[in-house]
Amino acid sequence: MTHIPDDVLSAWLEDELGEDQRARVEDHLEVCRGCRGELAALRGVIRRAREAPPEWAGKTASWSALETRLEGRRRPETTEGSNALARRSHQSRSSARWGWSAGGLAAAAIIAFMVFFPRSDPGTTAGFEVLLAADSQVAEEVETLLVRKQWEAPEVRHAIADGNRQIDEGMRALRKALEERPEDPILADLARRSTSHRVDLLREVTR
Amino acid sequence: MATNRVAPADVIGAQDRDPEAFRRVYFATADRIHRLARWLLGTADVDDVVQDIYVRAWDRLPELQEPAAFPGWLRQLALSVILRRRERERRRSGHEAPLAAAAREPQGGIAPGGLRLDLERAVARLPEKARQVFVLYDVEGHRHKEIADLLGISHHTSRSQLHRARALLKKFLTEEGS
Repeated sequence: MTHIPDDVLSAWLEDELGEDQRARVEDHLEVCRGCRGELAALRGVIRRAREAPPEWAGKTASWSALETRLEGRRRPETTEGSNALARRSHQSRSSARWGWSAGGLAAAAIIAFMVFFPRSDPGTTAGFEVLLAADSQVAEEVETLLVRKQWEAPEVRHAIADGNRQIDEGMRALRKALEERPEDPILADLARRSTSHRVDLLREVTR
Repeated sequence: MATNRVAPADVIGAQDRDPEAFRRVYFATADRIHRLARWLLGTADVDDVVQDIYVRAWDRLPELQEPAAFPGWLRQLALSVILRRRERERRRSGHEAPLAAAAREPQGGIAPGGLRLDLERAVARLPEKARQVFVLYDVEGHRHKEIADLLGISHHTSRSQLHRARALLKKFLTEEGS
């Protein structure tokens, strides 16, 4: 007797088999206790996958770190610059005109950086969090372009190259800040999450 | 039960920028989101990715029209972040990397859960594409068409990878149990 392979049993569970094959599987299951056992085991796998996840042991510690990041993002919300940034961010999400968005957001990132960072007191994360918010948007836009291969379009390549130049200026300013305050743990943590990834991406597509 | 229901009032509070409401939303959903990231991504920096997901959720919550839709909205947002991260890693490494050691040894990051740990280990042993499809279909409840769009594969591949994943999981779990 030829037993039913697991992948066929799985397809039968999903009702994906043709009429003939489904009839053969069902006829076999009626007479084969072993295959019924295999089917039950397969159902067990699916049931366990759908159970609630185990508790994540690092949840509380991660919340503490997250709270710090959110605190930095909340503070600059009343400033004119961050409101402009939020509007820009909203525009980027609602607009289908992706051509300008990578360069535009790159510009938003650098403007936010230049506006907020010089005003930030030592140890104040608000300026950098604004930069990182913009950075996140830029990275998202650029990666979307990469995934969709849309960066081949000349106008997109031009916009990205323009953004690249501006971001380079921002990175130089960031490095300078780090030289002045190398021991600042908040600064170091923010820098770790800063623009290096986006710069890598932009360089990759404009090479 | 590790994951609690998200109260719509907390979603609305978080939309109104109430940190305490957002904290409750986080604690009600983080187990599930962390598992999604862990199973799809599996790298050592999964915790960072989860933080990025919640930072983005905080930023975008005001755009959510219907608070009751929050769980699905958060999962979509999480998937977007996770799959982009995966694509970035793939592009950088030039191939689809296997799960990191942190994911293969889940005891370090997850509270003890008996048989669940076996499933964690078994999922981590799955080939990349089979694991992604299994997580998206059997765990997250996506349809094959959605999975095909998300992963850039055909419907047929999504189906065949799902059946392959289930068969392998059953085999791995049987091995562990014997």
